[in-house]
Amino acid sequence: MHFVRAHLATVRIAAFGPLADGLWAVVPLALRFLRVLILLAIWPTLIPPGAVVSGYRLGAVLTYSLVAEMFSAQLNVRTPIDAALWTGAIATRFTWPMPLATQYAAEMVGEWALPMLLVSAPLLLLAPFLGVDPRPASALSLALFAVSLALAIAIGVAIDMAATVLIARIDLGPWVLDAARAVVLAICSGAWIPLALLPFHLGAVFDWLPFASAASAPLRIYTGTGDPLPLLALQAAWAVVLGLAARAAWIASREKVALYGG
Amino acid sequence: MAAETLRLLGAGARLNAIRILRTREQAILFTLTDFAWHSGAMLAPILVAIRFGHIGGWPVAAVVFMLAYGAVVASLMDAFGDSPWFLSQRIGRGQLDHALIQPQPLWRILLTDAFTPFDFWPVLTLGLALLTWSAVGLHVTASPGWLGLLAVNLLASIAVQTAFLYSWGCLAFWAPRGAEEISSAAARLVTQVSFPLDPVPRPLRAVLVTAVPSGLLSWLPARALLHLPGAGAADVWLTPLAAIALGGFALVLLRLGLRQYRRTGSMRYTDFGHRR
Repeated sequence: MHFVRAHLATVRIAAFGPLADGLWAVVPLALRFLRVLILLAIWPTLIPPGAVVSGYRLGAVLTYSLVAEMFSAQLNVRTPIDAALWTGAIATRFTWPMPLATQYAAEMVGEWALPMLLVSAPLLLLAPFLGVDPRPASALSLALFAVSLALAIAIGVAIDMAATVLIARIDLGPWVLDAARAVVLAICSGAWIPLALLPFHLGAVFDWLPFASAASAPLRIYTGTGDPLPLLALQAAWAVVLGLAARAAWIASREKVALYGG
Repeated sequence: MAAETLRLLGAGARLNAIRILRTREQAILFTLTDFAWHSGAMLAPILVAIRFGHIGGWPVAAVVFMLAYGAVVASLMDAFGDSPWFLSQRIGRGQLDHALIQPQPLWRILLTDAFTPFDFWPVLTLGLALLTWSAVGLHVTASPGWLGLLAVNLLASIAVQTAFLYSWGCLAFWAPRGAEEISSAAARLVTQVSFPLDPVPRPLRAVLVTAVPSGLLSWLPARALLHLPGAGAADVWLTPLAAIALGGFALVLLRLGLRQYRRTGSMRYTDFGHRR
């Protein structure tokens, strides 16, 4: 019980943290509105109404883009651990009576609150005015989407921990890996553009990678553009494999953590 | 004045070369990473354009030209480091005092103290190569006049982004703690939008060339230089004019901010400072 309370307290503190300095935290969120509005304007010029491109109708792509933006933080999981490793803030966290991964995961979940309230909820409400049907393909799709999203977040946390291990072992700055991860997000994960709409059949290859399981899979289930069972099975396999691998790698690497911050 | 600026830029370049030679593996890694960052940002819109053969009225080569133009702007700005552009971080972290105590005018310190020209040449080379490739593919006649307009627009796009970042960054003079990261947020706001904006509704497009002028960093100048459908004859001068207007606005804010700073100074290292 104490374990759960400690994590809930971390979530609560992280949720209200951005508002401690006033409403300045709202400014970066404006970017997300601009990004999704531009994508929603561009798709109709590429896919005419009624046409089907690689299994996607215009309506499905618009819903895909909108839901991708609503859940962008969950589909591109970033815990604050890499920055804390670099600044040295992680030192005191080793003394907390909670596993390192779950305390940073709890902090991450808390940080989702404000963007959910100020971006995701308004986007959902404004969707009809933007010409987007935000509803899932079916009630079953919605239920399976929830399961798939949970698996996607688990895979994302495992990938984030793997990146942290690399930072610790190779003495990399977090921004170095950030660059590689930004490229992966833009192209391989399907978080911005449905993988099936990439040229040269790249999507067929990327579909099997863990990055697609962390982003594309739940979106395809929500929009009804993918068979849920194989997608969920692949996600579960990646969650188990990456979870165990990241945990083992962290245990083997935690003694190598060096701190420079101050 | 120019000689002293050039001397400091030379010192920055020399230090940059020494750092690269002394930390070869890390320097190579950082350079490759930066290259991956910029080229990756270009890749998604290019892949979409290749898949559909166009984006809006823009053929693939024109999309490549636009993105290459943006990469050249970004790499030229990166050559001067982060510190000139992220004013709010300097103010919020109490680092503006470090600049003010030096025997140089503030503008010269901001311009020269993080000059790292050798870190960003791969992105600049990529941008220039793609600009050339796409211009040839679009049968652009690269006359001296056109090249001059290209150079003027590149400088204007840099000035627009600088003015935008300084306008937001100045808020930290009044809210050093809350607005400490506002410059980086503003940078993300203008640099992460990399699609041709022709299909975007007119009101949103107006926002994207004024209040959040990401359209002036590549889309509008590229459309004007390539004479694509929708571009007017005078559009090639819109970005330079916007640079003058936005630059003037940023300068006024900066002067007001510095006047405020003279009264308050930095709170960072006081007993109740937020960085204690």
